[in-house]
Amino acid sequence: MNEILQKDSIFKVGKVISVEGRTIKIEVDKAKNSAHLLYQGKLLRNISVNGFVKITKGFTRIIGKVEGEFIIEDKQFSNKKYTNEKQKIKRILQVSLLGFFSPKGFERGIKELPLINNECFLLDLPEFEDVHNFVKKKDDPLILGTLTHENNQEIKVGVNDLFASHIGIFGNTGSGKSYTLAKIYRELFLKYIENNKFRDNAKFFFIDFNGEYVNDNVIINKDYKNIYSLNTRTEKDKFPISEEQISDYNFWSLVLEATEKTQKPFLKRAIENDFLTQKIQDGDSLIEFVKSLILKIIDKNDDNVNIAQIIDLLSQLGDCLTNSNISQTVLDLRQNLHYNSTTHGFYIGTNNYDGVIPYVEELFGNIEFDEIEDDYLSKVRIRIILQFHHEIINGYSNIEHLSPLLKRTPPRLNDLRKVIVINEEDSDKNITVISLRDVSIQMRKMLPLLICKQLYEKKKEVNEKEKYLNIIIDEAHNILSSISQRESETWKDYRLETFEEIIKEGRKFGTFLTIASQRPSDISATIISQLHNFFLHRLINNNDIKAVERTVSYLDKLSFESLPILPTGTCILAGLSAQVPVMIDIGKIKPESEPDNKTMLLIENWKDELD
Amino acid sequence: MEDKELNHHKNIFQDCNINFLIGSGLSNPFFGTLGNIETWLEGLEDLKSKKTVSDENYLLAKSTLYKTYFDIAMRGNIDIHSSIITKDEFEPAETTPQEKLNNTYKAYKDFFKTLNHILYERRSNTVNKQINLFTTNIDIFNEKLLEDLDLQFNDGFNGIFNKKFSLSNFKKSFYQKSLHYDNISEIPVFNLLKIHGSVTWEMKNGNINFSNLGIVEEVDNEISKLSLLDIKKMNDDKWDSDDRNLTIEEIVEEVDKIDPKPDVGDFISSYEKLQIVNPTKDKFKDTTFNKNYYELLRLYANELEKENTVLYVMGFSMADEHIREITIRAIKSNPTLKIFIVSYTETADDIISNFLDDLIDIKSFPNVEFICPENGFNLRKFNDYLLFPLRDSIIEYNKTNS
Repeated sequence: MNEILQKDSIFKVGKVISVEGRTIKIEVDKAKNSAHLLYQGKLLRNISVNGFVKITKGFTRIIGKVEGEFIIEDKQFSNKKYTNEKQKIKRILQVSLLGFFSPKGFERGIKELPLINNECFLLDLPEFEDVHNFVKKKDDPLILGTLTHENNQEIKVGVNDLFASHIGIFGNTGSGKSYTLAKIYRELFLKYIENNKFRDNAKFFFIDFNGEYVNDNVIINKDYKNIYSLNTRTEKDKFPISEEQISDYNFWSLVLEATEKTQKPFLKRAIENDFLTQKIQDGDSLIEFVKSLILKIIDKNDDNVNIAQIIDLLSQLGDCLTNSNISQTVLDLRQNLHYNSTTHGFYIGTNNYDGVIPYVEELFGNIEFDEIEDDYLSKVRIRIILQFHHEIINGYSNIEHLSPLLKRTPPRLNDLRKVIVINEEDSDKNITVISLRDVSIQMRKMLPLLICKQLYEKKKEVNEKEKYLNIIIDEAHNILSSISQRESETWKDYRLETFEEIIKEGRKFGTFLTIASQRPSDISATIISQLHNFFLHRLINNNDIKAVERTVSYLDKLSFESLPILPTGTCILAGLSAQVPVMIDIGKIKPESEPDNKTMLLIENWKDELD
Repeated sequence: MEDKELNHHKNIFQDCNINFLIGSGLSNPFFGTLGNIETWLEGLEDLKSKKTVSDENYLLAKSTLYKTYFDIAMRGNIDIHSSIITKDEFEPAETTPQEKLNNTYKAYKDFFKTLNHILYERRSNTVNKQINLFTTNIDIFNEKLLEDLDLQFNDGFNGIFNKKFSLSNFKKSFYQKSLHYDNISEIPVFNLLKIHGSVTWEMKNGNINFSNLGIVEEVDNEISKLSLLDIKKMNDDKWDSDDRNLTIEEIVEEVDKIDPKPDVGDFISSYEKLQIVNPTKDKFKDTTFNKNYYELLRLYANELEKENTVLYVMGFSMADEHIREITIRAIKSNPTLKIFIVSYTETADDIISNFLDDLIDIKSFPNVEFICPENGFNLRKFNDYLLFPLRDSIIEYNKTNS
């Protein structure tokens, strides 16, 4: 009994003097102004802004957070006899209520409001621990770092709470985003990587725009992860893509940026055309088909579709055949075949109108090649070429509409060829890092979309309950921005739809996104609003802060005000996995596992002799 | 020391009233330990009450023991007082008395200098810039160092021609006004409370006055006139031959053999002028002095009862039962007290067993913590282990934040 009384006398700080909604004012009865308090040999944090207090009302213990403090001077001072200067000054705390203690421990939310004159106490250690204990029963704890204001308090979150949710990590460049991302996943992997079930049932894909996570031991030792360092300049690693996906005309309309109205239907026709499939089965039937097209041109005698078209067709065809002599054929044609636009007719040599068809026949007889390029990408290209010419010659389509698409095809295919490979096999490693640092701008936009779409579609299709997929996108504004002037609307809609679908529906199929970005305001509001957990680093720009504010409803005023002034490596954790928003100093990672994105040290590189 | 632990101490230094309890271990290696003198003195009193020793032999044995005590714990003060040590680094070897003096001096110097620095950096409106140094040492190391370093301290004396000791002189704060703006700022102050008295104290008209080293020199002078037994040497020989300590009976036997017996009256009377607590159970001879002794203990008790108080116990084995009792009471009654016991040995056996005399298992208290990372943990190592890192972290911290 004595001990309890003694403890109360040490811990009591004051009493409630006003209750206005969630905001409570407390008059402090002691000059408890030191930062810490000793109790039973332990250091406790004393009351201060950002600290917690406990208000007792009967048997209920209500917990509040101190958001401000100020003093009120007694105006009637002159006509009272004060012995001490301190007595005329009242120290007032402004507290916002957060939750209460129930038999189960700390719970967020308010059931009861305090009354005037209720006593107010500091939290003792067990209570403090309880408020900061975010790990539910039956959940595994993951230590992320320490509380900023109380460095001895470790912050642990529950694995279920955090990883079965969409996570957003936001902050200006250099505020420690990537480090936080690496830390979260490193802790998770270190905890489970040796379990076979984890390796079978969980898949992690890191889409890494800046190549921060591809180095050997970043996040986790290289034995545990597949690294695809994609490069469109020189061939390096290739990402496996299924044949099924690549034979989808939507995929191609993305890659070739086909327009909605004309080019996309054309692509659909080209790729899904069974009639073409037969034609390109072997060399002879292909040549036969091309010949028939050319003869058709000659037969039509159309001013607009003449020699140029023939030469186009042949030279494009040449690209798709190995060891062919088509270039010879083209030269021959250029020299011998002419078109007379007054008589609207083809002739060879000097006005030999009748020898055209035998000449063409003969030419085609001389064409030699080993085989048709047999990789899938070339086959698609042949289809597009043949379909194009077929439609133009027959007058089904307008050449002006389709030729840009045809022009785009070869370079796109070349890029694509360098970074993907058709492969159905699954790797046995469950962590994959895809670096897009050395990929051309076009492909950077496209690849993540292709990859994520493939992963998600497959996951949806199979939908095994125990399988888990997590897609982690660092620098997500690259592909999730809702504002973009440089791309077509179609493309944008498609891009956003894909990810919005994952974020809206993914949870049901065990798919989760982790997004790290410097511009939350740039990212589509749909996506931000669906995130469950936020790690907020320093954000300077007002739009970014607003974007976060609109979606993180349970962040208190104080945390918001501190957003622009957070030090590097400190972030606010808010969301479903944290009962109260807390400011965390993210724990250290071993140097060899840190993400590779240090700000350069100029002096080291400029001075010959370092001091 | 790990960062976490360092942070813990940093926060404690930042927000608590800081007290040190300093024992004879801190003045090691310059002053040796007392060994068995206490046992012998008590044994001698015992023999006297049983009338098994003649008065003459009693006095002679007593003065022999006093002399030994004086040799070990007091004469050195003359050297401390007269030495001018400019060398600011540790001697590599510690064999000659001069080297021992230099190293002890340097360790104390680092200790006070760093504490002063830390205190100066502490800006708080709830705790003042004072440190209480409670010490049972009667030597003058503390005063000497505080004076040499030109720090503000308070040893309870006031006056010039007649420096009188009074408890009311403690609890003074020192402020300095700046020249330009009339701003007042507090200066770090060390309160030096010598619980067991000091060799610099003398009794004058019922008051304790400051006598510098007059009495010590007088006693030294008296000793040089006498030739007394060298008990320390005898004891060492005994240990080498029989592996045990000398007993008081053996000492009395040796004393008995001396012929003719020297007259030790002058020596004893000059020795007893010293206002110190002799290492006997009989601490209650002079009422004035006793009053002071208990008053100082009361101050010690009061300081420990304050809220948010930290006590670092250093070089002190808790053998003094009065101090031990007060400390235990405070540990039990004040939950906002934290005690760090800095032990010379890693196991801290002596301290733990001293507490066990009062049936207290000191390790079971949450507010008592031992700092004993290694054996031979002396002041120099304590500075390296705690104070320097603490100071550096505070300065580093303030550098980056200013």
